[in-house]
Formats: sequence, C-alpha cells, structure tokens
Amino acid sequence: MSLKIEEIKNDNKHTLKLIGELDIETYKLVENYVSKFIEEKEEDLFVDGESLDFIDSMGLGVLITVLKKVNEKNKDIYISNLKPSIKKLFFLTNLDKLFKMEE
Amino acid sequence: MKKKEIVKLSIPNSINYLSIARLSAASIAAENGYDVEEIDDIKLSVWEACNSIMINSNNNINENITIKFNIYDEKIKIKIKSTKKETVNKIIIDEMVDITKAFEDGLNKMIIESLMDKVIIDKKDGKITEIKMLKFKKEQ
Repeated sequence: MSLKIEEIKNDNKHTLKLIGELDIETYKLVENYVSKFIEEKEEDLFVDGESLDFIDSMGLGVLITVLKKVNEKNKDIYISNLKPSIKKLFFLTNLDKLFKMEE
Repeated sequence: MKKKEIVKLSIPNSINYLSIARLSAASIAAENGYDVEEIDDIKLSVWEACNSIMINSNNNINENITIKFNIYDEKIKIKIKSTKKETVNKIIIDEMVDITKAFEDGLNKMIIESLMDKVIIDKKDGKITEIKMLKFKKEQ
C-alpha cells in the first residue's frame, strides 16, 4: 500500500494527483510535499482525487493541516474527482465545508 | 438472530499490519452478503479502531491487537482490543506527537460512529482499550 503524488501544470494551475492510499503510513509524504509547494508558490492548490483509493482519519487530518497553511496565504485547496466512498467521508466529517469541493 | 460464525484475528501492535485487519474485515463482510458501500464502511471502521487502540497503547509491542468478528444473519459485531503477549520486549514510541493529533481531535471516532450502527468505546485511565461496533446488513 503506497501513495504517489504527480504534479500536473496547466495554464499556471498546479494540480496534485494523489495515486494510491492516503493514510497513517503515507500522510507525511503529502505534508512534506505540500509544505514545500506552499513555500515556493503563492497560489491555490488543486487536488485530483480520481486515483485516490483510500483515506483514513490521518489522511483527512493532514489535509486539514496543509489547508491551514494554504489559508494563511489567503489561498484555497480545491478537491475534485473523489470516489463516492471518499467523498462520503468529507461530508460525514463536515470537511466539505472547509475545502472547495469540485465534481 | 442465530449466530453463524466467529472469526478471530490477532495482529502485532504495529501499523504495518493494519492492512491485514482491513482486508480481512472487507473479505468477511463480502462473504456475508454486505454490499460495496457497507464493506467500505466496515473496513474503514476496523482500520480506524485498530489504529486508535494501537495509538492509545503507545504502539506497545508487548501487546497484540485482537479483532473478533461475530457474524449473524443480519448483522456483524466486531470487538477490537489490545492483549498482552507473554514475552517482554522493548516499547517503541515513534512520531506519536504528530499521529495523536488527529485522534485527539476525534476525527477517527467521528468516522467510526458515522459509518457503523452502534459503537461502544471502553477506556481505562483515559486510554482507549477496547472498541465494540455493530453493523446491520441492509434489507435486501
């Protein structure tokens, strides 16, 4: 079980594609990657969840942590293409109200 | 409400074995006629519960995590607790400060309580020692 992050640049818009599982074993990878991203770029962050197969409370927790950092720069995190089982978790935990959820 | 079967699983108190618990839970739920959404609910709840107990025991490798599935026709009861091993080994505590953050915030508890039909969390000295949960099968 692992996580891979692909960065896609399109018209000055950076999208991070999460591939695999974001959980207690992999959350540090996202934390480090996004922290570096925020240091280098002052822009909104787009997350593509199409290939995200699993997320747990640690995965959600790390997204909240990086959202706080992004918000400090008056930017947002946009999350799209989540699988229904993962989208359900965002709604159950009210995190859909914190992130910009896109279809 | 006749009890059909019991499955017991014991894993070391290490996140490296969480996937075994999750996949076993998914397999048991699938074998007993739960639909895809219910299987997702059960496997994530088992993952979160095991993880929570591991963290509350400070990843003490002197303990194993026992997961017991009581399978009925219309429901599944799952009991997860830590059990001491006979041998004495050293205690490993790693990155607990970061890891416990999400649990202090109660995110995992919120997830389990949202996904399962009934959840009982037992604590001793403020630490979670046992989680019992129940999931009814949707009516066909």
